[in-house]
Amino acid sequence: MWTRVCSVGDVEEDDVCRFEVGGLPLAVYNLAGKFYATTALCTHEQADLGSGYLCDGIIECPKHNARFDVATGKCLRRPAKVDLKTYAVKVEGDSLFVDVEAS
Amino acid sequence: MVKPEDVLAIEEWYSPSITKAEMKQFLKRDNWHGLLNFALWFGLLGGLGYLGYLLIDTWWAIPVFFLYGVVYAGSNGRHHECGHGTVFKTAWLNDVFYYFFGILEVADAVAARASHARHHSYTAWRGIDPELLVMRPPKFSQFLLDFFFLRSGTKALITMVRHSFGIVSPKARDFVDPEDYPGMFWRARLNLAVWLVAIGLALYLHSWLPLLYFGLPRFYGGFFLWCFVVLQHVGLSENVWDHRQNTGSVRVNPFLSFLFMHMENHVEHHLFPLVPFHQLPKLRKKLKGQLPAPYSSLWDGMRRVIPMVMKQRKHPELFIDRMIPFEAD
Repeated sequence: MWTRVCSVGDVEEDDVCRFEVGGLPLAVYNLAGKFYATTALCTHEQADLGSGYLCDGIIECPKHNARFDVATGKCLRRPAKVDLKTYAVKVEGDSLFVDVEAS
Repeated sequence: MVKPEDVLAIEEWYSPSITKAEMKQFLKRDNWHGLLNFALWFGLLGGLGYLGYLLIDTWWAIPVFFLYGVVYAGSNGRHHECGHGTVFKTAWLNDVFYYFFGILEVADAVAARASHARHHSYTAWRGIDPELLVMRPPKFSQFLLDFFFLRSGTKALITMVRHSFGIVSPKARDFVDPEDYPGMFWRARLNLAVWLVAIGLALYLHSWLPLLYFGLPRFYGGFFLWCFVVLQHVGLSENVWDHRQNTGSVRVNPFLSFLFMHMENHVEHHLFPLVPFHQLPKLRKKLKGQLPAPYSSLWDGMRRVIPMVMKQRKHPELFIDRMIPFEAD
């Protein structure tokens, strides 16, 4: 189900922002103008990835430096072991939609 | 027995006021700050080592080697920072130096990473945080021994040998993922091999010199480092979700600040563990009005912490109350 999450301008280039969609915490990333979305909680101890460190398409957990590939959700570094759930993103006009059911 | 997951379920860490845009600036990484810092450290260590070699037959060798040890103990801060992955923008540089400094620091790379992750999640939560340096009620003799790494260092050496033989230490069993045991054992074997080479060289040369350069400096040069790390949590409040209460910052001179990679800003580090070492002084200035005043010097900190540790022998419930500025509330 495609759900509007925010305006395109809400997520600056090379930045990550956290949104809640129907109680679902989402991290939305803007990598050089291309948008991605994952669950906003680190799979290690549920720290908020929206305040993590984003660099070269990798999001780093603000608490223990677990790393995940933003595009695939793949876990790249301990202490996390489980991949992030990813969500499809599309842009329509000025709005950014995430398919919150697909992964 | 306290279960970490039960405590984490009620987590509510204090967070200071800072905008996302400001934090983004503080989080920026590069390689050159780390490379410059490490080059200076290696240069200093090498220079003192060479001077010690030249003076080995004189009494001057004693202060020179003491200084060598003090600098060598700076491996602690470098190991810690690389473990956080924030020294270098290039991730593999952090990992390489993390393992290297772990050998100097007698730290098990795998167990230390897991231990430190838990330390940040449950800072100063009794029974969960594995990095509390002083138990309550404290044993003052153990506290004194660690001015020269004698208690912690000996335990670390025993752990290294145990892990080398594939025996999981009780602490590691508590917080290391069993999947990581093989890696932990192999890293311990590597550490042990380096120690054995140094000991073998000392025996072969009939000289203490190899061990004066490797291994022992962490012990004989550990005094300032122990003062430094004691002030980070010892004597402060426990079982609270507030790093202002359970963590201490301290002002030190530029040399010690360099040596310990700005970890004197320890409250700031716990609030934002991803902020690279070179940004911590700026972060301290930014958060100044929201955090308790730091200890004004190592001496100021120790003169408050040591009496508290002594009091806690009879009254373990006592702690140093950190004064939180009104502005923060």
